[in-house]
Amino acid sequence: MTRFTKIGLALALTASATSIAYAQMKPEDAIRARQSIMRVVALNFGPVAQMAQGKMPWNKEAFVANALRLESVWAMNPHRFFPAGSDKAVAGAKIASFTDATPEAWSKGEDFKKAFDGNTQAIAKLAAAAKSGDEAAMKSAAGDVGKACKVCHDDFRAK
Amino acid sequence: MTSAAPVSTPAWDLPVRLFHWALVLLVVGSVVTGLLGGNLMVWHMRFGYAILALVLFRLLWGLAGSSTARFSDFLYGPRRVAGFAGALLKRREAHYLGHNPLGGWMVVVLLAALLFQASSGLFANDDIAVEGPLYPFIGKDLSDRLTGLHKLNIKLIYGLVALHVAAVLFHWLARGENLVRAMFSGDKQLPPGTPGAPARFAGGGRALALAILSGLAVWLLVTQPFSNP
Repeated sequence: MTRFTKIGLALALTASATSIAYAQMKPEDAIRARQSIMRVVALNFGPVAQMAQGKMPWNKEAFVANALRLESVWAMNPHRFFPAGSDKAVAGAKIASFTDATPEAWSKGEDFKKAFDGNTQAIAKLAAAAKSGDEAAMKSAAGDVGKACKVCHDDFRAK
Repeated sequence: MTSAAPVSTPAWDLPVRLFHWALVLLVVGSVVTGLLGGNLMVWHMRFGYAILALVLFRLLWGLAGSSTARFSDFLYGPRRVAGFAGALLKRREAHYLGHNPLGGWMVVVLLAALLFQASSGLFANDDIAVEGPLYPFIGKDLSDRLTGLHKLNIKLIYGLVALHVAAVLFHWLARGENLVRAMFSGDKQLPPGTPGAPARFAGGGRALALAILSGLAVWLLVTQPFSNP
């Protein structure tokens, strides 16, 4: 075996192991993971949105810190924690004893993924705006993240 | 349909007309901003407060306003409503200076739906970045339920608005009554001899006082200047 094929084999094994790991993820673990990520997402986006809407005094350092942290948290890719079979609450699993995801998140999986990707792009733009230091651009990018969040919440979150 | 030329008759006072068209603009504005979301939610909430104040004013004006604005003037029992609906279908003449028996109930249902929409919004949250001003008083679970009803009730409002516009078009196209113009000018074109007493208009000072009262009530509700932070 050449070194190249060894690396290739290792990569292939890792990839299949990863997909097996996700496929075998217990529904309660998946629900717990996505809800935890979303909670931290909200924690970081909250002050950003409040400042963008003028409900909280403008504080550039806080805005930038939260926006960049939001990008890191979102990089955990919550979308992968919606495996098949995690569409129902798991009784007795505490936080995972409820899920607000609608059945459409699975039946319209492509639209669901698209909504996630839309938010990934909006968050990337927010982080770029935060690094640029332009206050107006930051506020407007924060509004666009709110809109991107809403796409998914409107269609795939029960209320 | 009419043998004699119609008579221009004062029907709607200025407060009713201002209320009506301001409400149209605010409802359109709140629907658009609510659908778009993002930073526009700030305006969605402001429009909602204004709608709440307008509806409160209209309720007060329905009790203490001009004769054609009063609920006692245009709310009829089921027999009268059915009779009017029958006359409409048979294309018989049936004119009213104020709201007709069907239109009167439409007013009440629309006001009730908008009142519920605006008040439920005060308690709503969107799980993203927006909370109604009264959200802290009720907690997340109840707020989620009210938010769900807020989203359901808007669909009812779409249906009611469509029905309202369809009825106005029906009066215009099938009966030759231009109710839109009357809601601008205040004067209805009625056939001579239409039964009923002429409208008695309440004073503008009273309207202004009730409008200020309604606005103040909403302002107190929203900003809670006397509660401890």
